Amino acid sequence: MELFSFLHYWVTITAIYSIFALSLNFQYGHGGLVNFGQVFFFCFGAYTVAISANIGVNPTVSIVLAMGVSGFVGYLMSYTARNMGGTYWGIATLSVGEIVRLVFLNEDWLAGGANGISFDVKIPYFATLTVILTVISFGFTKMVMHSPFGRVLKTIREGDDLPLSLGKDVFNFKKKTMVIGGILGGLAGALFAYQKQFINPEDFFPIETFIVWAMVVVGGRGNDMGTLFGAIIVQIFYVGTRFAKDFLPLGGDTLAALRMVVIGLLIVLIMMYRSKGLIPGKRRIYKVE
Amino acid sequence: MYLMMPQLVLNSLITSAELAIVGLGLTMCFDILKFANFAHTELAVMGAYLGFLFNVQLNWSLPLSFLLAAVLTGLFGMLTDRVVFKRMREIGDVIPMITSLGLSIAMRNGVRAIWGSDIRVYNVELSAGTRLLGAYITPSQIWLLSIVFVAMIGFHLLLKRTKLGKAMRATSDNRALAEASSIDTEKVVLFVWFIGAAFAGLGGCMIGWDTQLDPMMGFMIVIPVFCAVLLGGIGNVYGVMLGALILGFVQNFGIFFDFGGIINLGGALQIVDRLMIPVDYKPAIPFVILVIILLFRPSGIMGKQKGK
Repeated sequence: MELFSFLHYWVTITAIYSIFALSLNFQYGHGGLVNFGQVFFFCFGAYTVAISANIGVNPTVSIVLAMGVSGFVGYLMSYTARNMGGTYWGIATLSVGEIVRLVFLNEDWLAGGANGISFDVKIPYFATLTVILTVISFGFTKMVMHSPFGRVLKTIREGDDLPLSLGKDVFNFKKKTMVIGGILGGLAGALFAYQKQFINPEDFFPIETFIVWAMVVVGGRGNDMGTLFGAIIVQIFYVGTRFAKDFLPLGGDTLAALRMVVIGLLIVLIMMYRSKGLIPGKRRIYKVE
Repeated sequence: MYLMMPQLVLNSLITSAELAIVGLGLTMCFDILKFANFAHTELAVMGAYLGFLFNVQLNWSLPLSFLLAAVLTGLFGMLTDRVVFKRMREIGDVIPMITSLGLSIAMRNGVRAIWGSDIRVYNVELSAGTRLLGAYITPSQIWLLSIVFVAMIGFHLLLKRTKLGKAMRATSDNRALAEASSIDTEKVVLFVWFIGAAFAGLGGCMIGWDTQLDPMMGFMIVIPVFCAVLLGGIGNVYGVMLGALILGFVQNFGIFFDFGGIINLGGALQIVDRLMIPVDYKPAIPFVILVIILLFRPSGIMGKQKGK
């Protein structure tokens, strides 16, 4: 029975993080936007659910609301990407993520501040629901990437010059990319809140962003299948090492630290030897007659 | 507020000194290697804990411990370049940046795995502060300010008076041209890593001495250090000193400043009563400044036009 409840937990958390990783992959892998503040979508999604559940909004509506709020945050954030590229934007998003966390930490009236906020609304068949939503998100990104929009996005990833020369409004595309990434990130955050039933600002440290980055770079940037694979690997490892303390003579804190050392080194090694990830995105070749 | 003025100035100077000595290496690496090294402040943590190893665990004297810690951190910086970043010279700025992020996670948690998450202090006697121009200053703070000051002067002389400094400036200015003038730029890069990492390690020791050792401290200063670097303009070593100074003062004075005065146009209007930044938001000040600089003036206020 214990094994079953563990598997149940693992499937749920992996599905949630898969959606989160798909949201980052959509921005970075497909759109080339280096977002180091991805956690703020997660954060807004989770807090929207927690706050709305506390005032008695029904779960479906609150999840849609969470997606809407995060999508809107993505829309606002996209304005910072207007005249900022690569590295600079990465640093800026990291700061914004921390600012968001500090606001939720210090504004007690909003969502309990450091004490966090809990609610008691359970969704039936939650694990199944998360898996279904993962599949839907996967299908959705696949569909978007096969549309004309997706094809332009791929050229934007390689630099602004080519799409500009074809008369594409690059900023507008980035804006839409941020909104879609925000909606998916908000969905992941919303499910995270329903899974935990309690959230506080400690759930949204920048390390969450970096774990999702590990998933995307391990799997292969620009490849949604690879991203799911990366999410599964990192989660197996992340959850699995909790059992390591049963047969290793190490304290819990040391083990938690070692786990993060391995995740960090994993990012470094993948970037050194396989910067396209374990399953690199396929380049589609169009035959010209 | 006027009574606290000397103390605030002193606190600002100390914050600035810490940011400047850590930021110096970051701005040089950023300039020459063209990527944002998120692992740079972790070098400060490493230096601080190496100092702890020598000073507390091996019971060596404080100056010797700090010196050894700085040198070893410098060597470690060179090692990371040789092993990790050297192969990434020609593939743009995003991949080395993500790599440095992974490295920073590994280093921070490596320190945590070895020395634990508990707060540590160096083996020094706590001494009462002396009163100086209306502010209380501890001996460690006097040392901190003087050491950072000497390090900055030393670095300035190195940059302006030695052949190596000239090679460094040439490499930063135009790498291809420097190579054409038979400067071994790879050697310069290695030296930049050494001195940048050693300064960061020394800075970590200073922060640890002034306050305490915490594996998370590298993460806590990463954004302020980036902020100082970007304020001064990337690659501008004097800019980072100025940026650190500005940030140090804004951070310490910012929470005492009444913005109501500005909104009321100096008393002409009576829109708001008092408007001050809550103390809880003190850590957010560098974040906000950073986002504002990046949005409006990414080349920094000293304006070495390099931009995107």
